[in-house]
Amino acid sequence: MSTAPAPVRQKTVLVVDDEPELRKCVVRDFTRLGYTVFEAGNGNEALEIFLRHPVDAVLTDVRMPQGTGIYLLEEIRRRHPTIPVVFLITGYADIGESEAKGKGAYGIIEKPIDRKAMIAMVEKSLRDSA
Amino acid sequence: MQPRLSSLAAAPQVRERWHLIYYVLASFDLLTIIGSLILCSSLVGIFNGSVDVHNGWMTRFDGYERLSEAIARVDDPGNQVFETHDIEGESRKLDEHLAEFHRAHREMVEDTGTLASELQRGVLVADLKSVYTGVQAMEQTSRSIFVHLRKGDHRHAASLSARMDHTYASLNRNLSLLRKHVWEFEKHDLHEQRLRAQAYIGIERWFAAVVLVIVGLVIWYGRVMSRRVMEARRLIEQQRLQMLANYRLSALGEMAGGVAHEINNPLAIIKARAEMLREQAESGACDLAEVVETTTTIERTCARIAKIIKGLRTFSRSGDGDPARPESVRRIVDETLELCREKLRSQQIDLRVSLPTADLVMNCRATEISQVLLNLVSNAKDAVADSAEKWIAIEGRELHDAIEISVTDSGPGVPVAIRDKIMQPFFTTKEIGDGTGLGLSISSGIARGHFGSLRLDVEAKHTHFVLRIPKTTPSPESMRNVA
Repeated sequence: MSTAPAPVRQKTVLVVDDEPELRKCVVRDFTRLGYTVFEAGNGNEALEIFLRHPVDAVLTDVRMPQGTGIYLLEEIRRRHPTIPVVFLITGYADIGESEAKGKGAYGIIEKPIDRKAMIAMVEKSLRDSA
Repeated sequence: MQPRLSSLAAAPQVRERWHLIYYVLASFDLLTIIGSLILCSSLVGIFNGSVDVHNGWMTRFDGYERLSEAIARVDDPGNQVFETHDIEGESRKLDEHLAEFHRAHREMVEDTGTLASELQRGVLVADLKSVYTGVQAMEQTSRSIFVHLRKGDHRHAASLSARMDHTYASLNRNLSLLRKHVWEFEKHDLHEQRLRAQAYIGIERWFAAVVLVIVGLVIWYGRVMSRRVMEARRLIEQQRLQMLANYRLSALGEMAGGVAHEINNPLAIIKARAEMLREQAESGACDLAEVVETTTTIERTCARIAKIIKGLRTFSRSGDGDPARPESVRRIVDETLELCREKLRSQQIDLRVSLPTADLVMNCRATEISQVLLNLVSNAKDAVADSAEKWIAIEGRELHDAIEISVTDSGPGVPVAIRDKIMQPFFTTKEIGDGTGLGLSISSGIARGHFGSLRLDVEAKHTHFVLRIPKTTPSPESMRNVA
């Protein structure tokens, strides 16, 4: 990743997706950039991790069994108003950008993921929340 | 939320104006036909009345003839006594002839009393009275002749005989007048009957004309109505087909969200993996084991997408013209569930599939069975939406002569009040826009098209729909006809 910008600082990112393969790719990207990465397969699992560990940013899928991304966002906002949450959406019938921002999300990344855009948005969100 | 119960069958019937016009015309038609029958009956009555009138007057003519003959006989003894000189014998004859006359006269007077017309009765009674007076005069003259002859006074007897001839001539004139009056009264009565008959015939002609016009109108209106009914049927059929097309589109649209998610996820994996592969190649640090692992993942993910698309293609085509063929139940269930698995997962609905280890083979049109399953699962998904425990169970089992696939859900069940209606077209408990009310009726039609059935098991604890398809069907041709 020679073209990727250097991390702002050693930060922690929580990656949430019920697709193990996709999650694995995203986790690998952020790990290579030097972030501490936690991963979860659904909203409930992610919330447990969030409550146990310090997390700087959350990158989460929306449609998931046992705790959707929106549920996770609402739970995080109840506990922490500023931690950025970025949604990964599949486009169709999921939440729109304005609605996501209305609920307190930092932004949305559509699948199939543009990895550079995803990384750029998460890093920008970390800078903005710093 | 209170469910909305709607059914096209329960819509109020609109009585159109043309129904009313048709009924009015038909009523008029019926009335004129009844009127015609009454008129015909009256005409027959008039004909019978004419015959009665004629017979009545013929009887009076007969009476007249008897009266005339009796008078002629009454005249005889007074004249014949000059030839026979048998005074006592002629006197007895006179008594006998007078008795005949009185009988004939009495009969005529009695008959005249039965006449309806006062005028006729008065005239004839007067005529008979004058005849009676004439006969009385003749009787007195005859008896005077006998008295004079007994005394031997032949001269007076001869002069009385001349007077009796004069009386008889006068009596004959009265008789002729009576005959003339009888004849004229018969003519008059028959003429009256004819006039009445003509009046009835005139009315009957008008009735016939009205009947013809109304029957013509009824036929014309019948044609108009027939065209309207045919047009209405054509429109209903058109709307039915449109509804079916809308239902298919609606079901497809509902699936689209889940399918997009389902495809975009593996696409995201492929894209990410491919990008990593390219980055490795560009950096020159290619880990062969990782390349193999990445390409294997890409291949597996591509197969996953292909499977979803295959299921979608299966559902989206019509399939109703396909012949029935042996199909794997497992394959049908798997491909169908691929289309809704994501949606169920996102709504945290536990999907429990239970099929026998040995695959079941069903003689069917797979596309249609897939539609039925998708519809049942979709209904089940809506039914469990508000339940604390959310699960849908799909089970397949083999019976002696049929294959059964059942869909059960943990929802609140179908209320008893609507159990009989759920298979009716356009019946829905969903909010406007959420359901077409066609899903179960179409599914039921598909089951019948396979000579099978789709039923709600009311004995089951949960909502339990059972699709039953017989193992053998009469013939592919008849199967297509029923479908």
